[in-house]
Amino acid sequence: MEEEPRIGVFICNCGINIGGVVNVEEVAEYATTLPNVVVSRSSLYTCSDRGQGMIKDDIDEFKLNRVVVASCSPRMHEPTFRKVVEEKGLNKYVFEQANLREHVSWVHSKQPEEATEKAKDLVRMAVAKARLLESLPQHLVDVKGEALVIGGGISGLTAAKSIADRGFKVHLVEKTPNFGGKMAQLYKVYPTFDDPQELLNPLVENIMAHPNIVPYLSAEIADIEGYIGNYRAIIREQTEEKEIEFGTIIVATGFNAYDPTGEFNYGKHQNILTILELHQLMKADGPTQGNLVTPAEGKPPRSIALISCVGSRQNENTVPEGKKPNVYCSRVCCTGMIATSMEIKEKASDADIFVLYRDLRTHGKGHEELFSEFRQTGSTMIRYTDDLLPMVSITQGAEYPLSVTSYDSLSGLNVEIPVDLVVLATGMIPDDSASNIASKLHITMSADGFFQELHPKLAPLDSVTDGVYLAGTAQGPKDVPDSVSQSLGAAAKACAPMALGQVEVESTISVIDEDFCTGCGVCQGSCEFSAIVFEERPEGKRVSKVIEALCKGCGTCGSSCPSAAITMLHFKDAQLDAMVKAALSRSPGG
Amino acid sequence: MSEKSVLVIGAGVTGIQAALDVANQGIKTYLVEKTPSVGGHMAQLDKTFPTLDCSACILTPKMVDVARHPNIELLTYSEVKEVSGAAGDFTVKIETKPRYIDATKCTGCGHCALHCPVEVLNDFDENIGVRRAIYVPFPQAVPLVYTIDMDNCIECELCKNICEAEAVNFDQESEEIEVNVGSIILATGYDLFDATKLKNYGYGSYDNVLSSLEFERLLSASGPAGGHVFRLSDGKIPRRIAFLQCVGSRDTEHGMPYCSRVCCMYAIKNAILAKDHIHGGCETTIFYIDVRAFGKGFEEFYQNSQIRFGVKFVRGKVGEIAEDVDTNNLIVRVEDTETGQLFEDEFDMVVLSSGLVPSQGSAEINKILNLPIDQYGFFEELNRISPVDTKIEGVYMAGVCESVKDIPDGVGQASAAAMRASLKAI
Repeated sequence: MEEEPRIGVFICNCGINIGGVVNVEEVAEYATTLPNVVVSRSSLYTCSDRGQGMIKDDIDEFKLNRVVVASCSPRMHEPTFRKVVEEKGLNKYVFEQANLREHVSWVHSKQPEEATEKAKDLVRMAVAKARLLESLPQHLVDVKGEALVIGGGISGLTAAKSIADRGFKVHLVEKTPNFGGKMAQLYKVYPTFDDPQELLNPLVENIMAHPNIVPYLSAEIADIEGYIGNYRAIIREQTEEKEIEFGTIIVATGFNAYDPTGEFNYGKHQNILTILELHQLMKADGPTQGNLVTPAEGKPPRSIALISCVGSRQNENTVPEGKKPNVYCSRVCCTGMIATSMEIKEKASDADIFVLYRDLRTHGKGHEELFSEFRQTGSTMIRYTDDLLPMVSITQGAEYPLSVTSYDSLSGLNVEIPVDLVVLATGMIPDDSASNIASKLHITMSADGFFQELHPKLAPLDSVTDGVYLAGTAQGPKDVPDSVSQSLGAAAKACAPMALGQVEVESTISVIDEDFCTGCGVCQGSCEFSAIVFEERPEGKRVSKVIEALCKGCGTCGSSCPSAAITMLHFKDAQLDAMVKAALSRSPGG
Repeated sequence: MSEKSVLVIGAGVTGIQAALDVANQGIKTYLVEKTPSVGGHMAQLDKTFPTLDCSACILTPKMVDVARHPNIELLTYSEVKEVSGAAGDFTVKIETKPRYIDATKCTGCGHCALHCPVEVLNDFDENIGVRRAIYVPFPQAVPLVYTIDMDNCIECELCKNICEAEAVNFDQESEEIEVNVGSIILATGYDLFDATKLKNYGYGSYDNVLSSLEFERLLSASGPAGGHVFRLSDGKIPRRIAFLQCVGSRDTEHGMPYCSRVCCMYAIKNAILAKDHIHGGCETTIFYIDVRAFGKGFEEFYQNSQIRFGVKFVRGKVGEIAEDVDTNNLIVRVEDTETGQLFEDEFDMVVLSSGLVPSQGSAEINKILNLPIDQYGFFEELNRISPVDTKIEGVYMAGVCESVKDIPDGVGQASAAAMRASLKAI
């Protein structure tokens, strides 16, 4: 028995975000004229405790069974208001949100009158839909208490250990033959000059001996499918394949060093190195047993130039042809370059060191102090500009094999430096596996190619896929302590659903009416999330079926179904139809 | 639900996130905040870099979440008084100060504040706005319970007479509870560097020289100016605003040697917002040493600020600010290190990008805990790969009390501390 809709409409000023443009009082007044609206009010911040309290009070007082909030994007506060109606015993799907901020006040800030009319349109549409809203059932899924960690660098190791310590089984998959990742390739880690092996070795030993951790080396994920709580993957370790099941995933696939081939004459002379190559050269187990000598001559370097922002902070003018500029800063190179200069000075105390930089970004704990120490070493700083990159040339028969020329913006002079060695402080780029992992797990990448977090501040460790979390440099450049922090955090995120054993998944999904389904499979082809499978019915009929926990409610299947057998819950044809009609029913003159 | 619990000290965005991430694992969590509301400094900010998300909009849902989470016991206006025991078994005494308001009765209607005759400076508004002696610090405060500031109350009892809920109670006394927890997370945040220490900038004596947090409150819709940027000296709209970087940061003589990590980005953000808030246009210039746009999306934001919004950048640390006594305009003296030119420029308003320093709250809690701190007062981490472990087992830290950082890094670290702390509570 359908009860008569009783709708409450709440219009938010959002401080001055909406109220500074839209006449909120007028919109609230207007809403009272709409069918089934029994109360309409405005407030300064509807999301605040007070605003929420107002909704709750009105649900009681006016016996509301539908709630419309006209405020910001549902991406921001739909969960907030759904909780409010839920707390009053209503189904959370009887809530509808109209967006008067992103869709009105922010984009029409110079046209307050028209903005107010548009706000009324959106409220009218939301009310029209609200009248037809239906309660939807809650879907709970069980969460298996095992995790998959992809990547065995410092981030993956850290996350794996924490989850295992918390009592859950962890499958730790590393594609190379060793754990330790890029950190293990470093000579020292800044700003404390710790030997990375001394930090990594106890951790790796702990991992290998941990009763809750299954390590896989030289391994890859051949196949992966499932949804939060219930994933299945095939791990290929050398020639063996193993199928595993788990509930959550940590993506810790790390970074690659930017390849500067074609820039600064890299690749044309042995004495032009990337900073990671120099670190390998300085390691005690490196090709020269840690003796710092120039690769071409095998002699101690007399003069060395380090160049920052190689592969970072690029623009159209400074990127080699055919490459897309990496606009972002790689966050670690400045301090890395300063620390490395000091390590060079330790090994070659007589060498002259020249650091070519743009902005010196020694921003971390102890980094600026390190920079102050560096300035006591007598090295020379040269500040180049965004558009005038330094040039590295190979000299013929001169005393020094290389020459670096640069404009120094602080002295206003062009300088030419003869050097034995050039070190390029190359930035970070996403690991080769990133796009493959992204498509397998249905997670997104941001413009810079790193994995996109769900929200930079609200959810920096979550991906867009429930149950998949991001750790370390896979999400964006960062140094060791920041990677560790993020990995511990991602581990906490993964532990929450596993500790509870169950999670609720969205109910706004598509449903298939089997009577109309012809089993053509068009919907399966259209589904981005592999959420539709075939099922055989006893009478020999083959029908499509939606895996509820995988469905994102995007609606693509619904529009592709030739038999109109698919309904999108919460976005039913009748509901959208009512919104369209409401949109077109503005009376002339407002 | 596990039998042990976790204590989180400080309810800024970091403490809030840490508490949520512990509680979401089914572990009982006590969240202690010394001020009347959760929210911390993030609640004071207008918008956040580099996405220009409205700070209140993204923070309030989390504030409300901690208040109603079934596993979180929120103790505002409360302070930790004593800690004993060891990892896995700490005993903690927490004192809740009297608000002189019965929190179970107060509806947050605000009638009392309308009638309170005493007006005092509101420290939530960085003292550029006012509140009453009975107050909530800001409209979205959680819990939305009024507090009487007894230092300023004249006990006229108007509030008591007006309160329909009969929530005002002048006889309320402080309460002390004792809790047993397996681990402790410190999230005691930061204070802003006190720019009055730099005599050459005239902060505190020139009306139109503001700290960055004062400017945030000026920009904020819930701030004293309702989001309209004007000069505190004469109410005029500023047409030229200067932002001075490294105020108290990277300054071994008068400030702190370290980089405060957030000032470059917040200055860029505020320079953009000033242009957005001021109808009829405003010119904004940032005086900097190095622009440290290092986080995700930061460099793009920095480039955009120049290309799309026309924010000007001058590389030079301002030596001195002088005030024109007739106009209250400010004359900035600086060497542009890219041209070598020493020059003066006149501005209607100057905003100091003050750095972050360890909070008074950190110092106070450390009188009880005695944790090793660095030369500035930040808590020391165990080692490079244990960035949230303090040197006492079972005590973890997150956010700026460990070292300066921005919101994404603080929030990430909060989750990290929650992970570590949960291991001692299972």
